[in-house]
Amino acid sequence: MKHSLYYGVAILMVGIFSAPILGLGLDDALKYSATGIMVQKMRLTIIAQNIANVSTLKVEETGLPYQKQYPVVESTADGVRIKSIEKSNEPFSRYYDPPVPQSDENGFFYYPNINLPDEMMNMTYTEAMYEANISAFKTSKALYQAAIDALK
Amino acid sequence: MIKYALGMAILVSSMAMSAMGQTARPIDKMFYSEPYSVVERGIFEASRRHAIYSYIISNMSTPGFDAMRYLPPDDQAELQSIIPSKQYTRDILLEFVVTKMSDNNRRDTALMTMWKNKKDSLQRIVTMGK
Repeated sequence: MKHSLYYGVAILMVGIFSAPILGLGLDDALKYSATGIMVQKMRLTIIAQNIANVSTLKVEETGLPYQKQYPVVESTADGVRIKSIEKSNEPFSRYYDPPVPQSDENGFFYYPNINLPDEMMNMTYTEAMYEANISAFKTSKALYQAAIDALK
Repeated sequence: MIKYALGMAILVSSMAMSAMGQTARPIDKMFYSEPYSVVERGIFEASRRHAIYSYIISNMSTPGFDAMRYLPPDDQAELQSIIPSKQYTRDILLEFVVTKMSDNNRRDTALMTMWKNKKDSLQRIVTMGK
């Protein structure tokens, strides 16, 4: 009796806390996977942009070397979304080479705060997440198709 | 006289209702039998679980996302039995959710096949085998 009461309370708590995603169907599954795919695609785009700018010494807008960008991701009732794209405030790499036109009065010039191995790792991880979302989407589609076929 | 007519009307209507009930009951049993509704509930549950797994996969890279909050209680218990410490659950979460999704997919397919068989039988009855 006591255990069943605890179990009931636990189920109720789970129900309350996971309320935004209860009462779901395959439509919602497709929507969640679609948002996941889009977010991972956006991440890949940002990573590609970071890698492409790995040796950009000056950005017109700021006058500084290129700053690493990263997406801020948050979960929503519709799945997931990119809240904003932020710039990294990590310090720039510094090199001593006086003949370089971008070097300062002391002969140092600054490189973007991008770590190429980190970016490659992020890219591999993002690719895996992208594929996981694609697999989930394909499974949802297969379930949908099975339901449609059952009605034939 | 009015009382007699009213009494007769009630008697006739109750007889008609009881006769309708007797004929309607087997049809109800045929279309809305308990195993049929169990299979339907199973399909709804499989769809719900699939949506939950999709939600967790889409939020796998979201910082601070607590997947345990959304997992069904039996999955939570299973995950905790594999890795008791909550600190490391995130390391195997993707694999766990993907395997659960695959398992759920198989269950849904089986239930859907059962539902289709039942529907085909009913269709044969309704169309008298045509």
